[in-house]
Order: sequence, then C-alpha cells, then structure tokens
Amino acid sequence: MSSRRKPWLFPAILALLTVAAFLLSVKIGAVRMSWQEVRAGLFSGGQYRDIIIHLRLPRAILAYLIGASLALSGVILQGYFRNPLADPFILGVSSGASLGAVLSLELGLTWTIFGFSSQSWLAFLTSLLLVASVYLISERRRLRQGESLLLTGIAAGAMASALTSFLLFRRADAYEQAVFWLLGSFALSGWKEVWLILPYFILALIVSEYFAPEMNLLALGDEVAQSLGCPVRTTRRLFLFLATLLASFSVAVAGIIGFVGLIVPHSVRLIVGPDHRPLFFYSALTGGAMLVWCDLVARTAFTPSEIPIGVITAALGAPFFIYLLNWQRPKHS
Amino acid sequence: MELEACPQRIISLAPNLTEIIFALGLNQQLVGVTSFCDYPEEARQKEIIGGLVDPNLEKIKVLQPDLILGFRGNPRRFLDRLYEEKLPLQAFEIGKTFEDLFSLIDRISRLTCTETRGQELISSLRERIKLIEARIPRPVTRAKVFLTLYGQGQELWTCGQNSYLNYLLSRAGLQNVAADFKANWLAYNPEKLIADNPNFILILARNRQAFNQATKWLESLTALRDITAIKNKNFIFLDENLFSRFGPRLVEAYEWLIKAVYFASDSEGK
Repeated sequence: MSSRRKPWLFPAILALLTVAAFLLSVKIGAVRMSWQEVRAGLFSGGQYRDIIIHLRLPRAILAYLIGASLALSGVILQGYFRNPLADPFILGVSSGASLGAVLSLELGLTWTIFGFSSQSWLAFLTSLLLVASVYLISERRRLRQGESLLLTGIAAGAMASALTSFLLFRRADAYEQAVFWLLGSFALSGWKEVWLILPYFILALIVSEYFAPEMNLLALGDEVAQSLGCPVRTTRRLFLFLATLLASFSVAVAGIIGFVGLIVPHSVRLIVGPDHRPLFFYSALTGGAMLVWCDLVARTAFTPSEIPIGVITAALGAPFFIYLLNWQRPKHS
Repeated sequence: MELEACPQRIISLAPNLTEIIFALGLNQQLVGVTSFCDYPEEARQKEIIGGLVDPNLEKIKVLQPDLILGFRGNPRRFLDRLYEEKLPLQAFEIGKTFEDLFSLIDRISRLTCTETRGQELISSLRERIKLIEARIPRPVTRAKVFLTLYGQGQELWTCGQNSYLNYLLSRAGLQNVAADFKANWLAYNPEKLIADNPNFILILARNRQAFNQATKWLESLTALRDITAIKNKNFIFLDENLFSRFGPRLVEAYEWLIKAVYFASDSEGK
C-alpha cells in the first residue's frame, strides 16, 4: 500500500470504511429492521424512529468522536514524548478518572449538571487535576523534562490507583457501581454526550493541525527546535493540555477504552509517514472509524447482551497491529 | 456433617440466613454475623465476623462456633478452608422459589433443634402467600413489567429467568420482559426494551430518594420516552434491602409487589 504512488488510496479506503461503519451501525441491532424501515426511521419517522434517531445514530457518532479523540490524544503524546509507547492514559488520566468516579461514590454525591452525573464530572476534574499537578511537579526539573514528566505521571497514576483500591476496599457496596462505571458503556448515550464533546474535539483538531509544524520541529529535539525558532515551552504546554483534555473527556463519557490511542497513530504513521500534519488528521479519522466498527461488534456479536468495547478494541486491534508492524514495510523512514 | 447436640453458638455468613435464624427464635444462640446483616435490628448488636466475600477466619475461630451457616455467595476458597479446619460448616444454595425457601428454613430448623418453630413459620408464610394471592384481580392480565436495579452505571440491569425475582414477578401474574434470558442478572439492551414496551417499570432502590432519582433519569432518556410505563409514569418503588433477602421477608416483598402493582398502594413503612 504505497501512498506515494497512489496518494488517494488510503483516504478512499478510509472514507469507504467510515461510511460502511455508520450505515451498518444504524441498520444492525437487537431489534431487526429492513433498509426501508431504517430509511423511514431516519427521514420520515415510522415505528423505529426513536431506536434509530435516539439510540443507534448518536451512539455511532459518539463512538466516532471518542475514537477520534483518543487517537488524536495518543498521536500528540507520542510526538510529545518521542516515545512509541505513549498513549492517552500514560500520564495517569485513566487512574485519575477512576479515582474521581470512586470518590463521588464515597462522598455519596448524587447531583447532575447538564445531564451528566457527579461521577462523570468528578472523573473529568480529577484526571485534569492529576495531570496538571504531575506537570507542575516535573517542571521543576530543567533537564530531560520529558522523561521526568513520564515517570512522575506513572508514579502519580499508581498512587491514584492505590487510593481507588483502598476506597473500594472500604466500601464493598460501592464496588459494583464503580466497576460498572469504569468498564464504560455507550448503551444509553444520546445526543447530549455528542454535543458536549463535538466542539472540544473540533477545536482540538484545528489547533493541533495549526501547530503540527511545531510538533515536527520538536521531533528533532528541544535544542534544535528552539534554535529553529520554535517556542518549545509554550508548544509543549499547549499539546499536553490538548491531549489531556481529549483523554479526560473520553474517559468521563465512555469509561476507559484502551488500545485505540496506541495502535491507531502507529498504524497511520506506517501509511502516511511521520509528518504530523497528515498524521494528526488521519489518526483522528481512523480512530473514529475504528471505534465505530468495534462498537458495532461489541453490541451485535452476542446480541442482546454487550461485550465491553475495550475487549473488542484489543482483540481486533492487536492482531492487525502486529501484522502492520512486522509484515508491512514502512514507506517513509 | 452430623451435629451431636443442639448448637449453642451459631455464626451466620449471610444476611438472609441471619434473618432465618432470628425467625426461628435463635437470638440467644447466634454469636456472629456479617457486616451486611442489618435485619432485624438486634442483628446489629452481634459480633461482626467480616463481610460476605471477606469473612475473617480468626474472628470465626475465636467465637468457637458449633454451627456455621454459609452460602454459595461466600468465596469457595474460604468455605473449603473452613472444611479443612474441621469447623462445623453447613453451606446452602440460594434458591429460586418459595418451596426452595421453605426447604431452606426446614433444613436450618432441623440443624438447630427448632423443627416445630420451623414448621409453624413455614405454614404461617404459606398462609400469607395464599391471602395475598387471593387479592390478585382475576382474570390475571399478565401486564408486562421491567425490573431494574438503579445505580449500576449508565445501564439497565435487570433480572433474568434464573432469579427468584423473576419467579416472584411471574407468580404475581406479571410478565417479566427479560424472562427469556437465562442469566440471573443482565444489562438489558435498550432497543429490546423499546420493542418490549413494558406497562410498568419496577425500580429496586435503596430508598425513596434514590427511587426518585432513578425515575428522573429514566424520563431524561429521549430514546425511551415512548415506552408506555415511562409515558404514563408507571414507576414502582421496590425496597432493595427487602427484595434482596432470600429469607422469611421474601413473603413481605411479595406482598409489597402485589399491593404496589394492583392497588397502587404505597407500601413504604406499611
């Protein structure tokens, strides 16, 4: 698959896969219906309108947005740390979110704001807070800041996880609730989740596209980037903020979905090369399409029960990723 | 295991077993309970030997029990250990029907030399079941109901065919929409729920406040707005504590259910 000789091939395949994923997501579900009924439900009402317009469609769009956010967050952090193991949760976003969700149960909070539960809000805020403090602590070090940030993040994540386990251990009755929350589910997600995430995602995509050339310079090392006129410190802060925001939103709305943020950027890099401009864009689009497919499998394979989507992302994504890594020769290296 | 004399020091490893022991009048003999044993009120004054999944072996030993009542929900490894230590353990299955409940009561009463009391209890429970069932309006309408457990994340958890709750529903002349699924508990597919279109939604909640939250949450889900039960606000509160104990109070739960569905009576506090 040489994108140099046939630059239209990858975008074409991606577009096709995306459209197919959405069509099938709207068509297939626990309640069987024909294409005519689907079309009626989408455009003119009919008996399945609520199922199509308020369950299947927002769910597919939300899965797309979450997949795109996680992939974009992952590709930003891989560039940021110049480390192929980086993923959206490397700085403790997931541990922070878990802690927040459990904390909300522990405190017995039951309010909702904008239709989102205290659990989601606390998860979101704790994960942001955790990464912010990790950043502020590690910023004290002048040299090799990236490494310090990475290790501080891992340590802080472990601390948050320990606290979460402790709280869960003390409150056996809250345990189940927390576990269900952490597994995440799109089952009842509707338009409000979509509208909440959409503006932030679009903004994050535009900003990261705009600063993609700076990210390319950072890949050469901080000193070189600085000498080439890149405001290293500001750029780094900006990208870290974007990646954390995307990951926190995703976790708060959909729980912890692993693997998308790791393998999508790698796979896309093998196809479009290391330039961050196309890399950001195509990673987001590919991540979105991938998660819609995974969600489709998750909710239809054992219908009417659902498999946690993280199981599917790993089970389908990992073999494909291993294939790409070992059998596919990168064209840009 | 044969017990030689009537047990004088009993430990219960589950709240429903504790309730049976109290109903058999064995207050004096009961020396240890779990942290979940909160009914009747006197149960709270007993020595706590730990939780359901993490009972403490040292605490159990130091109480020198001559009868330990365990159940399937206790960790298998823990029960095995009690056997290995030659502690006087009797482990029970959680049943599904009233007959299972009566046989559980019967077996425990035999172990504790309270057969007469056990038989009295069983016949009074049978009598109550007969009385309440006589009040079910005939012919039975078999209204479609969906029972859900509030607070389990953003999903609709419900009871399937293998649960005693499904047994209660069907015995009360109701049709559980999830009865086709074998599982005890399952997260129900919202599309299925829309297609099933139940007449009542029964909500297991800790208290009234949690119940009100649950109804608000269900009403906020746009996709479910056309379901008859939600459109007509046919929500019924089931006390989670009462409905989760497979003991003598199961009959009380059954009465609550029938009164709430057929007579729209607010059973709280009776």
